[in-house]
Amino acid sequence: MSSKADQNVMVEVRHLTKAYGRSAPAIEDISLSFKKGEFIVLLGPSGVGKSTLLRCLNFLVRPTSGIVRIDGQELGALSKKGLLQARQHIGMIFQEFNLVNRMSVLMNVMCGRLGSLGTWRALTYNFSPEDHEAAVRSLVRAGLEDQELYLRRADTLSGGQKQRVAIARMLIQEPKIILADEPIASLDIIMRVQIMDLIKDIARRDGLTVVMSLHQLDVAMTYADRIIALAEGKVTFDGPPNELSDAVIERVFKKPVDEIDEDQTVETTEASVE
Amino acid sequence: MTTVIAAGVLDAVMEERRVNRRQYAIIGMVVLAATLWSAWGTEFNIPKLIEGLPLIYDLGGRMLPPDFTILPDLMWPMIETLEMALLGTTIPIFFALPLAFLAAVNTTPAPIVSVIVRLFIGVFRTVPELIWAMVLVTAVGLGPFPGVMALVLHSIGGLGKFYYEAIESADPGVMEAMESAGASRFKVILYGVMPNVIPIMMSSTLFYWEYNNRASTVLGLVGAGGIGLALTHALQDFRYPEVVTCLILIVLILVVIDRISAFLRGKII
Repeated sequence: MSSKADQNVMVEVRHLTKAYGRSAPAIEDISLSFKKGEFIVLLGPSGVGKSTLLRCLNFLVRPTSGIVRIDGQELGALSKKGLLQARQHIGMIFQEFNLVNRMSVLMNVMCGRLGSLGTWRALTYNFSPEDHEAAVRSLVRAGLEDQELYLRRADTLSGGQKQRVAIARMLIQEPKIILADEPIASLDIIMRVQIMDLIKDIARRDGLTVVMSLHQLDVAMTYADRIIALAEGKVTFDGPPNELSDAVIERVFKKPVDEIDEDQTVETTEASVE
Repeated sequence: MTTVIAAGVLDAVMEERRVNRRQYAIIGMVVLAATLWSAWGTEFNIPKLIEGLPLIYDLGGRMLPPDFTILPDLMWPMIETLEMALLGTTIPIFFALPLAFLAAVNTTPAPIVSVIVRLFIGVFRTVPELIWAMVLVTAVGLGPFPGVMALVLHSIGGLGKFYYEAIESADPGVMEAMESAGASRFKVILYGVMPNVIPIMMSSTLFYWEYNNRASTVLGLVGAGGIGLALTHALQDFRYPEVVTCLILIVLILVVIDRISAFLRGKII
């Protein structure tokens, strides 16, 4: 592989396998490479290993075998401390938002800076003025301009607002790559479009790579540059959305295309009403 | 067709009821047998109790009226009891908290550590404070100090269990989010676990303070200081009006403490 090609690669995965205990591996011998700025959707119903693959990309799940390189850095070769440093530039958002309920919105966002926070500041829950400013900037970018919300407890927010706070927490990391685990599965239909547009917009402006797991076919078709479909822990499709044939869709979702479409039409019409 | 289905359902319902009834009958018989056996073993005897009623009446007569002139002398033992309960609750916090993080499955450094620490905590909790006090009085002599130590040892076990259960109720998703941003294990605990867990811990600590106030009044029985000691002395010397004064004082103080504790716990949650 030439060094020129390397420079353009954000994620490289070689022969990745993860098995939990002695059961059949959740993912098996996966080799992929994602370019900088690429919007990748891992598609498939739940339980096909999307979540495991995603978590191998920041070593929240340590692979059984195989290599993961993020921006040229091999995660498996890093020390404990080195891994924590590498994660500071890998943003992640989740289906259930994963905010600390009893902390303020601002505090939650600043938790994105925990990696670089000094021990004494961490112990006294005392983030620096710069961190506060960065948090406000991130919140505004994530679409929460109403400053009245910033000191409210996170559990007083709506689902859409919570995901925006989680996105702000990821933005404050100044990530090179965004990992998103079913980020719209807990949101209503209108919020889904808004959150997807927000992520897409951020990724395009900052030139970020996005790796997102999804089970909604129409959303994947609309937003992805490239779809990777998983079935039984293996890649069954890898290509742009327009190459995703009905045959592949039926193989991935294990039901006829028109049944899947039925769900999706309802969603799109309601979304377009806004 | 619907009647056919209904009949089938009815049969199933009747069969289930038959099985349920048989199970309840068996449970009932076992409990009854165990109760009778225990009554025989403990020489439980209602007629004997009725025969003894006049004696209780007589004792009651000798207790009344309460001797309130000793109240000033009870002040210090009572304060000592409250101090014992307070120390017996605050000192264990510093031991129970680190132990709880070692014991909780989501924060333990290794599963084997969790198992060992749980065993340790379990032993401390299972031994009643009265037994701890007897052992400690033998070791360090009479007085409030062995009393405090007894409460401390028992409370390390009690609070430790409350604490690690609270830690285990922490949201794993939140911890994962902190980890994904590069937070060390220590910071994950500080930010991902503590904010939601501290109110639960404070509440169970208050509960234990309340419990220790009750326990510390009894510790005097084995010579471990406080109002319990004054009560024991009065009983041994048959000064019944003083016994009643002690009892009234203990009940009043405990009611007040229960109220304070309930009020504070209400404020937390």
